[in-house]
Amino acid sequence: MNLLVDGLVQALALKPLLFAVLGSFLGIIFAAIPGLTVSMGIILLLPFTFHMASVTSMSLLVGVFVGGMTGGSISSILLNIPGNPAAIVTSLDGHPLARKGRAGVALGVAFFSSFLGGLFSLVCLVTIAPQLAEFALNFGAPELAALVLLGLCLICGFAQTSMSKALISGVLGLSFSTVGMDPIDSIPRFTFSVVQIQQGVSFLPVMIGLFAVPEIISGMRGSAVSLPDFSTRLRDLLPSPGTLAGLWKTLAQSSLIGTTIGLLPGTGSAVAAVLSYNTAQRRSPEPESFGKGKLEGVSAPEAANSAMTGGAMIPMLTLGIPGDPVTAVMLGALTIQGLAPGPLLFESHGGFVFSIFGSFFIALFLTIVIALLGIRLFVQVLRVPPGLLFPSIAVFCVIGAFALQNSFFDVFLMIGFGLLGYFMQKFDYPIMPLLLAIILGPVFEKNARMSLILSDGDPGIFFRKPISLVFLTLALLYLISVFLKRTSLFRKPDTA
Amino acid sequence: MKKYLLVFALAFVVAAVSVAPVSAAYPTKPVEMTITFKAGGAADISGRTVAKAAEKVFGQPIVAVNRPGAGGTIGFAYVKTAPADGYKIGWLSASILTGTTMGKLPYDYRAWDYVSRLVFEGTAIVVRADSPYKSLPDLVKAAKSKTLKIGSAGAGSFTRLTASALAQKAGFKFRHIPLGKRRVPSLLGGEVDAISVHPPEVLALHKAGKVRMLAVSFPKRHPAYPKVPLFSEHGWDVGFYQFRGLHVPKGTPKEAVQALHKAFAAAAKDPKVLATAEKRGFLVSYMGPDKFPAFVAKQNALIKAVVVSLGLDKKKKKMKK
Repeated sequence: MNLLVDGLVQALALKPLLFAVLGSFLGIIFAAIPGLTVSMGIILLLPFTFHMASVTSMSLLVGVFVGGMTGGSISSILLNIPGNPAAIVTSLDGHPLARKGRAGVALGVAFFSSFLGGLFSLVCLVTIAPQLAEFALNFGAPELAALVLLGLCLICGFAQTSMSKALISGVLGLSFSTVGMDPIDSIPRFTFSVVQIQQGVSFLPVMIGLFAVPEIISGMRGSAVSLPDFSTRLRDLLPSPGTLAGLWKTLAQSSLIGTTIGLLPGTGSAVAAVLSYNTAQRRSPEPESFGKGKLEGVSAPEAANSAMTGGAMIPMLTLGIPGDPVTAVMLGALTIQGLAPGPLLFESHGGFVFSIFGSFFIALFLTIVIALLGIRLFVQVLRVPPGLLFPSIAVFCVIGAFALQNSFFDVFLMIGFGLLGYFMQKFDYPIMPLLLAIILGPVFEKNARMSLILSDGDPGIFFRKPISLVFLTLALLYLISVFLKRTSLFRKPDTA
Repeated sequence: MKKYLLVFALAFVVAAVSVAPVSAAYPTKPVEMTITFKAGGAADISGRTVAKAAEKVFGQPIVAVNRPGAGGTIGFAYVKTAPADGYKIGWLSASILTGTTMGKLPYDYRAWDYVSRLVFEGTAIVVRADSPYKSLPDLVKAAKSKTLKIGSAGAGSFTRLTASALAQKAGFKFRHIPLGKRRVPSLLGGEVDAISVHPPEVLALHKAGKVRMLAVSFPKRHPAYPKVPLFSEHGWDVGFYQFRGLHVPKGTPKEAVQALHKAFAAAAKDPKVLATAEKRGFLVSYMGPDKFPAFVAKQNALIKAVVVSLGLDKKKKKMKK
């Protein structure tokens, strides 16, 4: 306990505190602007940390990480364009809420959910980090393959009107995910001998294109729905304590899912968000109201993607294994400082580790304060005339797609997928299955094939491991439940 | 009088500079250095540190730009097609040789000019602490009687080629598992018997007694892990090491190459570079443009031999049939 107080005191010193404010602020901004991502923000700030004291540098980076997981919800809710991959599902219910004039409430719920999810993962980080890191090592290739297969089955959950259209969209995504260097044998696939295609269809330009371009086109054509007038008084914007209390179940299960996903390298915040959204939907007494502006649909992904931050820091600090791209950069920053994360870091630099926990707590606190203070400002975005708003979004999208890897190929990829997204929307094909398949397809392929190499071609490996068997059973049960629901809907078409 | 002398001296300097050959004007603007891997990784840290130190002698900023993707091929192709004016340079690694020999790039290693080698990085064979193998000979002996699972970063990765070359030298066969980013968790979780990996990734775990570095493929013992023997000490020297250095588009002017050489040779002695090398577990070992091209050619021959023996160069053609 003393260590924890010491850590908090260290992180509260003037310099670390100032940089934590800066970090949280930049994190929110980077996440909120489509095309700029949290990992990009961290990478840009990394060189500056080389000259800072270790506590200060971690305050800055942790601030960006935590702020980033909160800020993504802003553009998802207000513009229907996710600011970063972690917030892709937040738009499903967040944007309909904004259209009903409840943007402030949606944002408030998103921020509080982020705060509580992050707090939950911080508690895990402080109390049982080494045990959780050991637990995560049980997830080998077959377990990950089964988990991701479960995620792929959830594509069915995003079918609004037609199941076949959702499946077509999903299969299209899976096909795109096979383009580029094959993850096992490093053979270029479908590259037509163009070197640039070897990197494959990277997820971020696709995400920016699919969401932003259709919005820009309909905005420019003047077909954007005009929003009802709403009050911008802070009291009217904030969710009531009663609203938040009603969400406690969603918050608890999403925080747990987020932290667990964070522990597993190679999965990521988008997976955490999707899994918890789906769990919330399945456990809800009225699953059909999801996607039309339900607060649980905002709360679940936001709690999960923030909880992912603490989860991802656990293997990074205790074993020196980064759980996601952001913690990978943090690992580099710590090594430069001469602090090698690993089992010995807690013994040799225990005080420093607790100062990271302190910075984490302060970052969570600062982020929610900054976000809530900014809420009045954010909602003003909805009042910007479309003639100004959409061209500026377009500019950010192009810059963002280019800046990811300094590549024009990604800009064309973004535009191409944007057109695809526009026509899919026009013909009523859901884009979420396509996105999910592009995120999960490569992870599934890699782990499934690796399992078969490990077992020398014996598929039994997926059924012998208990964790993997549980996921496969869940996937099967889910598909059966979807089938039963669909067939019963057939009989009563009026409820569909 | 003193004033006049000063003016005279200044005028002389100005005259001397302006009559110097035009090429000596290089560099007149910042140089862009492409790093072919992501920011924050091993290539990025060493590249940026060296570039920062080289700027002092070079006189112009050397701006590092990350162009990652497809195992470095995206960035290498960018440098290949950039104008050969000395203002576009690349931070290369041995991956350029695996990329070209495996046919991921449509040209061979001679498509670039090579300026200088700056650093070596090791490749270690690592097992869990509870593994029965206490030394590299233990592991080799066991591998001769049963097929061990040995993981690496990927099928065509440098770590895999090192493990395969070791197997050829020592006379054993193993099942290769392309673990990608999950290489360390997979070893700790017990999915594989050993992994071939760059030492900095496991150094903290090694010091904590969670894993054991059996041996490392490196020119000499590294001060960060002085007790770990070299492959060569067991008589299984694979002959090639992960190296990093500087290359430029083919046909870059000699003056530019010499100016870069001078700046980077100075960077190799910079105390900051040496301190970072110590922390990050790489070894600074400078080689200039007089010897470096021949070194690259020799490494290419050794790496190509392993790639061909594994059949990695033919896969593309097989797919086409």
